[in-house]
Amino acid sequence: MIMDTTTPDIVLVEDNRHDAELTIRALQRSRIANSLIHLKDGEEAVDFFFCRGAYAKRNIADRPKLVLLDIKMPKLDGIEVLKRMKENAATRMIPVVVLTSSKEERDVVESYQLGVNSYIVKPVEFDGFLKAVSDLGLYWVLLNRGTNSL
Amino acid sequence: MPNTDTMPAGKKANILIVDDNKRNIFSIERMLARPDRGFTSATNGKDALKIALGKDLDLILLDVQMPQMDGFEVAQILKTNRRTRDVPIIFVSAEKKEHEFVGKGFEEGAIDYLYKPLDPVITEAKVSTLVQQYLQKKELAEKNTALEKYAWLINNSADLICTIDAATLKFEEVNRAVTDVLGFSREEIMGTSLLFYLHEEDKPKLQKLCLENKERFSFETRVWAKNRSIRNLNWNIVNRNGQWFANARDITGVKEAEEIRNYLAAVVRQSNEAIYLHDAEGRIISWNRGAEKIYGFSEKEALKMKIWNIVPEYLLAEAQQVVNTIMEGNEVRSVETTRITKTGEVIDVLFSASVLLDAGGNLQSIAITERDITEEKRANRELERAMKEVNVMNKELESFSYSVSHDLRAPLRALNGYSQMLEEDFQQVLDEEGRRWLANIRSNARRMGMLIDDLLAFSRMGRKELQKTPVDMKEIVAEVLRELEGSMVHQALIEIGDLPPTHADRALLRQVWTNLLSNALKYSAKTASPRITIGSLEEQEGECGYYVQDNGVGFNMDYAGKLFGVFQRLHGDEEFEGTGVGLAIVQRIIVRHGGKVWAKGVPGAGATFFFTLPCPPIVNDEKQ
Repeated sequence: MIMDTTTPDIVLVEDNRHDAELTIRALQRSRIANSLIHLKDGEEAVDFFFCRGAYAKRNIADRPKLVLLDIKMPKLDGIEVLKRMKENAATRMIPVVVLTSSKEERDVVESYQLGVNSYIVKPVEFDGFLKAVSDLGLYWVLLNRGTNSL
Repeated sequence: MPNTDTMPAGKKANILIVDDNKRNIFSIERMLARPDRGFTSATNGKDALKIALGKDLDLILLDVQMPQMDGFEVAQILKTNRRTRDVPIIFVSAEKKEHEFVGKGFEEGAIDYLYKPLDPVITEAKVSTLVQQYLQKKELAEKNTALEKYAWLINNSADLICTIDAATLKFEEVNRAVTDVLGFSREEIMGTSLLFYLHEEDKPKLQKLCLENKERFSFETRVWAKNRSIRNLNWNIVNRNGQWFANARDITGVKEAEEIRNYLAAVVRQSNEAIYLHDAEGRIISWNRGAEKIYGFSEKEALKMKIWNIVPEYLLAEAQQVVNTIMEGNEVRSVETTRITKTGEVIDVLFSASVLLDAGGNLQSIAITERDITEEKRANRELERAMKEVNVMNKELESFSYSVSHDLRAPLRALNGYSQMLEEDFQQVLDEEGRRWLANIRSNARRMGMLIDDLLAFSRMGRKELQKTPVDMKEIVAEVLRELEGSMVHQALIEIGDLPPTHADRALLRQVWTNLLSNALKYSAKTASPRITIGSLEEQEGECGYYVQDNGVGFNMDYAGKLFGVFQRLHGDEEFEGTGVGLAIVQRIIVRHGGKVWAKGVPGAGATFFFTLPCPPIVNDEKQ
């Protein structure tokens, strides 16, 4: 769907392929998933953001407009990915929305401390999830020009 | 002859004879000679003055007619000197008319006149009278001086000194100490009886002493001072001629010190702590019962030991160091250390020590107190171990619920999401029954989501630390009702009674009210005219009680025990929605606050839920 050298508008980092499929469908229905890449885990996400491995040819200066980041993933978890992004000047300004299936406070507090732009708890009720995802997508990709267009 | 008893044995009356004619001097000396008289003479005024100023004289016989300085001149000078002014003078003159010449200054006092030729009888009479008078006067003056000294001594005595009438026990004379100690003035005390001041219990003792009428006796009494304080007096009485010559010492301070000493001794004796003294070399010099109990050494055994016998070998150097620092004047307070008992058992003690000095500031002994904390420490260690276990279990529980929240929800999301996708994209392929089945799958997935959320909330309640603050119950109830009105449609009539404030975790308490009030609304929703009453119970045994009453479906008291269990429900899902966690959460929160929760119900007639909380601590700084 997407070439390794190009940078999409939306990066979805999600290890659960069903959750990913549902998320992508929600974004498509809101017509904002035209340019989206789905990364399967934290390791792949780090490769992508810092242009390593399969993404070595990507230009780090090309920044996605929005990252949807799952917290609980095998190997490298979402918090660790977020930490590395915020430590690096090239990736610090990319808006990150944390997706979590937990209401546990520690996730929320930790991710806010790292400077996430927002987070959503994935509800079982898919309608609510769709709405949340599309609202956030619209907001960040379409309205927020601050970070990438300069 | 006048009697010679007037002179003390061996002491002579000194008589100075002044005459310019030596023969006259001899004849007077002869005339007056007596064993108790000594004579000195001078032949002119100047010599006479010299002698008078240098010697204690008892009489001067002064010739009036002398060349250079006559007798009157000499007398005038003698009268101006303190040492000589009271010495009696007899002027001796030739003519009677000279008497008229005498100045007015000599009219009074010890002055007399003799006329030549001297008549031996008259001369002797005048001389012995004047000498006797003078000597008496001198003696009196000496006695007065002595009396003044005694009076001064008595009045300034710290002891109470007084005379008391032996029959009536009335004070006749008192010194200042009496007025000082009793607090009454001298005038108030005089004429009052000692019995008036006496402590009731001491009166029979004194009356018995009066009857015994011994010549000397001592006793101790308590007396009331004017300021209603009790003074302890120790009396010594000399009983003579119906009078008590009494001396009393105020021993109140001594008594008090004695009482304190006795009290302290009793405390030390009865203490369960080991209290003992040792000297600079470590020799044990006292050993109380507590020490006997803790160490197993009897007092007799301990007094032959040194403290090193109860110190484990590896602590000997340290113990010596402790003794050194104490001897430098430092205190050791509540230090944990280890000791050894008679049976060789190692015990933990809380050790305190300080130095005892004598009045001169010299080391007297070192005082040690020790509390046996072996049991305490063992209990603490066990408690710590248990706490650690609980912590590990809590951690495990936490990570368990964490993964539950993540991992159980993901499949539900998929279940629900794909069902929805089927519904949306394959509607035309499915018939009515198929769509109903899909809807059932979705509603069950939704319900499981709710169950997971509630279960997690319930487990969080158990772990969250309580943050207690003063809580205004009226405010919190109003808040919760406002919120519920936004999410639940109801027609209930809600009455709110008095709700005293409490001290609790506000967020958790809010959860309690939310659960109880939403239950009340839910279970009364199908009643014709729903009515909910919120109120409080009277304070009882330091607990404040609150209740929520509804007139809804109620419940059978047979099942009251099941109400507060997790996932326990008394109504079908079809009838009233819910997961059965709300009341379990209420119970968990209330129990964690140290309160109780219970319910009363009648099927079809409503339910009342009660809970209590410990009453808030009394705070003094009331808001103005």
